[in-house]
Amino acid sequence: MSSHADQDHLDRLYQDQPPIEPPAGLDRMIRAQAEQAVEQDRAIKSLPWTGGVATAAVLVLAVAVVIQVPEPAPEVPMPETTTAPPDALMRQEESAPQAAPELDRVKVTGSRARSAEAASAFSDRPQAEPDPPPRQTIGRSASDPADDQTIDSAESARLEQRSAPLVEAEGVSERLAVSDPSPWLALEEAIGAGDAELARSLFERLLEAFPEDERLDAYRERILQIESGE
Amino acid sequence: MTDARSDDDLMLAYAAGDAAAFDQLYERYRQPLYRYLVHATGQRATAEDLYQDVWSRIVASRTAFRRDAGFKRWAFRIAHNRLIDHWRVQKPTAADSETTLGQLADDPSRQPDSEQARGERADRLRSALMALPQDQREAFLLQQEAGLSLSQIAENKGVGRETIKSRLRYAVNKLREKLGPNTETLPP
Repeated sequence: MSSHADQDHLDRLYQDQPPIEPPAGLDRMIRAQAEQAVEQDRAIKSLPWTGGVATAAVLVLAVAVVIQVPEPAPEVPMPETTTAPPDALMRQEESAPQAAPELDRVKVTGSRARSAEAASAFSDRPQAEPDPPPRQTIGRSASDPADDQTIDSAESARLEQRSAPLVEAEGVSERLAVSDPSPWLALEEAIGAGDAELARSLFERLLEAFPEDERLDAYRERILQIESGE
Repeated sequence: MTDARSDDDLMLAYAAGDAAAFDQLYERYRQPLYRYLVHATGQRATAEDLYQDVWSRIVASRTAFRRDAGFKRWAFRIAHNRLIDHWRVQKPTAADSETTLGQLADDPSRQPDSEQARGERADRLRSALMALPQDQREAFLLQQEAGLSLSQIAENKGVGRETIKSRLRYAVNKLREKLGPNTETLPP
């Protein structure tokens, strides 16, 4: 018998065997395993989507927080002690005890606004009209006299500090009373004292700051009277 | 319903996420791979373990499959490597093989005469196969079940083509001696 004939015979013998098949349970197990692997692939592929969405959400949140956070307000030095009379403070506590927690804030806000007004009066930039101080509506009535008095006292102290460098620059600090509450009061005092040089200096500054203020006309006349020796 | 796609296309489709492609592929190769392992080990239980492991490796390596590898060669190489690992751990004895081979076919007394004769021939073939040295048996099974050429078997086993040719020649001679001369008339 040739080798090829033996090979063919063996081939036919081998192929003629009864079918030998794996158990059905094994088939099901392997098919389920293959399907599960594909589902895991799908789940893994979906992760980049969620990752991208999460990254975008974090970025949007960060930008929103940056936009919402207000810029820090410029620091205004708080007066360490108030110059308000003790009786005013007493009246303040009696009239608005429920507003006590908000009082400090009101003081700060009110004095801050008025300080800004006074500072603008001495600024080099011309200003048509000083802004009115903002009305406080938090926890108290707008016409609370005790609060106003306290604020005025704090304002006086702050104006004194603000006006001092200016007056020194003019060389007249020694002639300006330390207790002058405002440039207007300083001008009034200089006229009353007959100090024409100081009055003229203050007048020029006020005229520069408030060119359309009608009170300046009267002051001008009075300064002229002083200067003319009347 | 059969799929006209080639084995390689089915495997690539499965690697891309088409679970139905795997079902088609599995249907084509479940029997050859299982029979290869049964004949190679001679033990159905061991063959089932190896069979499940081979398919698990096919599933796990799905993304590593390349078209130029050829699915049939690739799958049987995985099976062959798994067999080698198995044989390294456990050396089957001839007695075990004889015992187990008798259980591979159904009880001949319950089969019709033609089926009974067919079963007896299969038993004799299995016995003759298990009597072959491991290398010769494996080369014969790779040729019969996987339909691999001499070169492909040589590549699979990492030996030369002439070595495989020699092993196959020895295997055929020994099987002929065991099974007797070719006098039987096999059904078409």
